Amino acid sequence: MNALFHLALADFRERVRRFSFLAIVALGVFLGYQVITGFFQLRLGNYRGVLNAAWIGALMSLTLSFFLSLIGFYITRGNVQRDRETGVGQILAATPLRKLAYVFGKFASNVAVLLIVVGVLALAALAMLLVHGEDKMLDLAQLLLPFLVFSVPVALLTAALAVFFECAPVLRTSTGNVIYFFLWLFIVTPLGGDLLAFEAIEQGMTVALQAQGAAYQGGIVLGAGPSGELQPFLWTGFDWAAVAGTRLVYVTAALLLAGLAALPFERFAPEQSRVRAQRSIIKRWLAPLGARLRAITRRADATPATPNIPRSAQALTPVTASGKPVRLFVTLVAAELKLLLKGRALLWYVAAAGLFLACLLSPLETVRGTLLPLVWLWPLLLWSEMGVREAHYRVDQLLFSAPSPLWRQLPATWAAGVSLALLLGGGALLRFLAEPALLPGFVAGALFIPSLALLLGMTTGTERSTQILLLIWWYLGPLNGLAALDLTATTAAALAQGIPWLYIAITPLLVGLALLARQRQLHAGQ
Amino acid sequence: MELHIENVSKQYRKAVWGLRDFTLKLGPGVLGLLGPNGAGKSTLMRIIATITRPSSGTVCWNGADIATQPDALRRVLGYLPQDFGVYPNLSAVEFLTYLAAVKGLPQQRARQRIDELLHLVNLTEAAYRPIGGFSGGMRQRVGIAQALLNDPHLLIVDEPTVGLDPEERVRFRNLIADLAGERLVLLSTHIVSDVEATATSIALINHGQLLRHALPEELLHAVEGKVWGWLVSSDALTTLKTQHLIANTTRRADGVLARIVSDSTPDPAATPLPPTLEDAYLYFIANRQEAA
Repeated sequence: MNALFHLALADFRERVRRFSFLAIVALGVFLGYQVITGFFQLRLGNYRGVLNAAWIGALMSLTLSFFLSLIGFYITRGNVQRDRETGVGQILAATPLRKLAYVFGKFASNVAVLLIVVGVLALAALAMLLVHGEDKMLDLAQLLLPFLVFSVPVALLTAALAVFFECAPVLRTSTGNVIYFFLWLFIVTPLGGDLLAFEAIEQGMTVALQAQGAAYQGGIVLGAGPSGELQPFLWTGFDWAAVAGTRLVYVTAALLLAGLAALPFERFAPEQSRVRAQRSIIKRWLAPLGARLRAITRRADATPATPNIPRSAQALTPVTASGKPVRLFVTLVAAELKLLLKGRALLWYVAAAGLFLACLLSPLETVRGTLLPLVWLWPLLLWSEMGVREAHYRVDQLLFSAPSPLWRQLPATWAAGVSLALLLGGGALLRFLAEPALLPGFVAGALFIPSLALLLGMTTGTERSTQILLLIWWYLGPLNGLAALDLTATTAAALAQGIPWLYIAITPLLVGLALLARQRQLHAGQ
Repeated sequence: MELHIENVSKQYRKAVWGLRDFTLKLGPGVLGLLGPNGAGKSTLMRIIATITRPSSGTVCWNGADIATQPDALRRVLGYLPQDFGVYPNLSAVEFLTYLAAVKGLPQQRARQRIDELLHLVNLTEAAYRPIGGFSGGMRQRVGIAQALLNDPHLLIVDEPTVGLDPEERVRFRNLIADLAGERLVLLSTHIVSDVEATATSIALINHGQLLRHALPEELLHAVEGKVWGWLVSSDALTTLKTQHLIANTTRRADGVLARIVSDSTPDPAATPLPPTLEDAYLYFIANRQEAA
């Protein structure tokens, strides 16, 4: 227990001393501000509650629970991976520390971080009551109990999921970030009625509304909207103790899930992960083929360019920097592209080729509405490495001491990202050439997405920010046709509004900001 | 070919200085930069490698200020940082090919040089294996190869022999000795024997300040008559350590032979010994600390 406490404490201290922690707190403040200003509202048809302690508490905690379940996962995960990368994990593995204690330590640290966000929102709720409250009576129980009963179990479950994903094979990689998004989209959100306590609150509020003479039958809606048109009704809260019992189920589930994370956790033994990977059915099928292919290419590559093996450094082939800048840039772009593509599973290339072919052979409407969004989604993990890779693999000193780290290396990285888009979307591009009206959508996707990824990577220093933002963007825009976010114009509305042109116009700004970010990196040690 | 470091200071926080008023003028040859951990060696290396800018002072390469014209130096710079990483999915050949492109080298020539470099650092057999599976020493050798990719005029190597086995360490020393000539090599380390084998001049640094810049023989001359051998019993050794600067001890059947660095004879029974660079290093570092 002592070890668990100190493990959680050390992990928590390490986190709160990072700049990213400030970003987490800022996110909490921003969320609270959005609720206070009325951007996020809770309404029942045309009705909203009188702004009293009960209503504000419920509104703030529901909004928080919704965001915690998604964003909370991404802001808490990464602590086990950090132990892997820093080597601290191997030191811990050589101690008597049990796997269960380790995962619970990390879980506790995750919970502590999320509870700080809960605390920030609780303070925001208090501020909202005192400043904007229509009934300013300070009923602390009604104001704060929703956080304890609704938000805390969600925080616990999210923290446990983050630990589980960190410990399980495959899930612990960047792929896990994408998997969680779809898990949240297709499982957590439909379960939200119960998990996020929508149903319990909905029942209580509907009963109160009907008791005041309204014949309202619909559910509650949490989202953005105008407040002026809504009619207020009085809701004084309900018996939280009656709801608390069912919420304990989620607390128990969170503890169980955190404990379960100890099962796949490999205790920082790299051999185990390798053995497990080797057992993969696909790898077993494809391993002999890959080995043969490598042998062939190696033989071709291994032929030394010179038959003269130098006996000393003096005998090395002299070399000077090339004087052909265009050729040099093209070579660097090719090298960056190879770096992006290297090390992917064979299945990744097969799916990419499948998408390319499908774009060539499918009806144009399918290409535009279904396949193109998939084309933009497929290289997400590759794009999210842009701008992050140098620091992540600690290659930055080697790169920044080479010529033109600002004006050659960074544009080459960007050009490689765009080339990747053109390469994967080549099938769609060929089809769109016959339908020029669709070309701006393609160009917008190919230019804007890598530019945004590069900028986000350089400014946030993590792949997760790019992955989550682009996933949400992709889901709302290209997939669900929200016109303002539909940069590739998968819908006629976005095309008619000229949305792609907007994104094409923004792209140079993003690239310019990425250049500024690189300049800042170059001067970071000053 | 000239590197002129003039009154360079680097202040990290209010009372934390990486370097203070550091001045040094260097021409072709191998400079061994010696100093204890935290002396400021890596700070100086990073400043010269254009990674960090000094808080004050200038560094000029062939007359060009590297703060305003960094590319003039970067084109002819080979840099092996103390702490660097690799792209684990790339093989040694792929990683070096990538860095050759970053350094702006023509592809074919670079490819030829990569093969030769991999042979020189004894990595030919592992050239096509992902670097992710390399040992620490093998990664270090990839680092050495990348530093030599562009036939550098200025080669900066920061703790280059960390993680190398004795055989590879000798190979590296020979490599550095070979490279000396019409180029400047800055070799930063706290392992005196590495410098002893290769350096044409030595700079001693501590607390961010240059203690002494001299030829190896000048340093040896400075501690002539200051190194003593004294045979004592094992029991007396602990007390001796608190009273004298002991460079090393050798256990013998009749006791322990202590090698003592001291201005005067520690005991009438002690006999003078010929000094080594390690003795000189210890003498100057200890004297500086006492003065501070």
